[in-house]
Amino acid sequence: LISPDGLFVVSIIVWLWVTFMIAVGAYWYRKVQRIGYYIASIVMAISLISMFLTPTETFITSYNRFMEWAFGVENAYSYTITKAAELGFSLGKEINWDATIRGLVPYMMFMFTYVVWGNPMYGEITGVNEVKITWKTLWPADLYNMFLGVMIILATQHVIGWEFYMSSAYLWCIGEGLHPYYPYPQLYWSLVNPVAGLLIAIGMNFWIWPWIMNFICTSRVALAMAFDRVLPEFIGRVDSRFRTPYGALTMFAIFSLILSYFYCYHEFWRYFLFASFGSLIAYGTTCFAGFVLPWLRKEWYSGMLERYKVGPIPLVSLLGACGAAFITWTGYRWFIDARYGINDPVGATFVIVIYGACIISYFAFKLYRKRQGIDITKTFKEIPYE
Amino acid sequence: VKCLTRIFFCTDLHGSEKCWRKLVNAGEYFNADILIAGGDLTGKAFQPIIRQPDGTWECTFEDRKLIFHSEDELTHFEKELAFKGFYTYRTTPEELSDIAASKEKIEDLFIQLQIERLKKWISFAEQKLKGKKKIFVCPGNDDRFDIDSVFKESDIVINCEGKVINIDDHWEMVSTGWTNPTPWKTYREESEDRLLQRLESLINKVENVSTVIFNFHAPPYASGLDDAPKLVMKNGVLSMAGADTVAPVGSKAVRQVIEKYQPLMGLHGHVHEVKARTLIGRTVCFNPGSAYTEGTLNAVIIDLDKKKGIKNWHFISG
Repeated sequence: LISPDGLFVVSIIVWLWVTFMIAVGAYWYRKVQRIGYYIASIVMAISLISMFLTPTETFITSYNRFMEWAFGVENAYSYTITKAAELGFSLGKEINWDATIRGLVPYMMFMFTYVVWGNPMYGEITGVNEVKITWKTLWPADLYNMFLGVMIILATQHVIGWEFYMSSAYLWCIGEGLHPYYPYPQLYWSLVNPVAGLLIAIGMNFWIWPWIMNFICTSRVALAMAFDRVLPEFIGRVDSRFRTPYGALTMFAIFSLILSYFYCYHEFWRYFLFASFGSLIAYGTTCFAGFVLPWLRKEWYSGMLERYKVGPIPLVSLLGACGAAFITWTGYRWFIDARYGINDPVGATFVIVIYGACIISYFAFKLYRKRQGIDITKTFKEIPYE
Repeated sequence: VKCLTRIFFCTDLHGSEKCWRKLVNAGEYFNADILIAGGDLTGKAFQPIIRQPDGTWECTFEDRKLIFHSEDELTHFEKELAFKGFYTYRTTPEELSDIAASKEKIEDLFIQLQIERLKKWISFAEQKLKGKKKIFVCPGNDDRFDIDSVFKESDIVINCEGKVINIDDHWEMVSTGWTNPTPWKTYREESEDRLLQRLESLINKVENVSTVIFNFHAPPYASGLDDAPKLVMKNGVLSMAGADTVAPVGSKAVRQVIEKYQPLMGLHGHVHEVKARTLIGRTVCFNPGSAYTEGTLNAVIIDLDKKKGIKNWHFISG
């Protein structure tokens, strides 16, 4: 599965599933997500309990047996720790604040910028602009996720051993791993015994398949653009039975298939890494917009937001300024550290070309629509009301 | 000879002064020939502002107690609320308790405020559009019958409820703000059967049904123009079934007449959350939705060509 062919086959399977689920519409998508979530949660709970009840020795025996059978490595558990130590790894007893802030924080931002897109999407849910609804839904979900994360770390520490786990992760990161798989906790949990392995395999499948549809949800952008007459009309067509934007979906399905091919056979990740910077720009722009809102859009600010101030300074401006400063600093950290791939000219060129193509397409459509008598610059421009 | 007619259609203004002003100005701004406001012109709530013994004014708005020390502050607040579709009423504690004690008095006050605002709207439109353009309006299910008479004296703001009107020398438009039943038991709603009869009798007056515009407030059922948050009864109160759960709430009668007569296009509203365009047979149907509480005017601009029919369309949110 880790060969280019294997990756491409998996990509096709995922592609078929995602395209099908999006095509049948939000009703079925929601049902599948809900069922998958409940089953995966039950399996996760059982797995966590069984991990806490299993002594580390059981895992060590199972892991050693598996590694000898699969890769011919004897006594792999202790060898992992020894090898990592020889190659420079040590499990620090004290927190290095300087390294944590300059290294870990930008890294976490790098990992989270994609995932946090869930929050802007959450903003599309009806009624979410009411604080009460947000408190009832988004925050409990976040707290639950945090709780699950802590439990997974504790279970991993208990059954696998923290030093071994970190040593294994270190070896994998520097390309010296004893196995070719990324050492995520559930992979190791599944080695404890066959029943745990089966359960975790079922749970992880119910977790990932209902969630994975996010990958083509970007078709919504194309749908909106077609509605605003910035893309051809057929992209904005919606199926009357399933309420699915089939034009936009087809376009993105074709794009994602082509991208999957390049990803599997042509080191496409090099081109893609810079895209994280695009997400950062989006967040930074939003923060900056929040900062200038009370001055540039007084009428928007004059509602509920106006209530919150820190002294004479509007709270939204203060938060916007802090957010924009943090985003700028993060971007700087990414640029000066080659490991993020952001400062790779290949990736930067690719993304700049994509952005350039989008800008050209916008102006081309603007001109085309103008000839038809449509001024798309007025689509969201406020009409005078005096 | 001018071949193109540009229509600017918006709907569900619900008393928003800002949206009305934008509609009036839209003719010049978008170079539109015909301005149409679909149903639900009037607002849904009024805000009493109470005179205090010390000369200040006070009210509780959105769980917030507000005190106004000057006429300027109060006028600014009243303007803000009018922009969002609210009515304001300056009163005293004694008068307020007197009004609050009687449903009839509340209703009378509501009608008075709605009529006052509509008169103000008409005056603004006449001032800006006299000799230039007309606005075709059609009260919707949320509008009381008392407002219909307000439009009688205006030759700029035309009430087209229950009428077939030539919007220019080529295009006919048939209009009604009546809808199928809603959970709120509003003023102009009726069973699907009766609505069908109403629509059929209106369409019978049309000269050429293939080039007519159906300006029906209720969107056709299950067309995508009528997806509204699904409501369920919880402890005797109507609540949303789920934040992301929607259900079709449009009219089967409207859909039936569109399928049967295949007019040129359908202009609809009623469901605010939607901004959609769809095809039912050869008929193109639009619902631009509404964001009146934000003072944003959602609309669709449609270019009609005498030879081609609908030449172009463009949703705007301004």
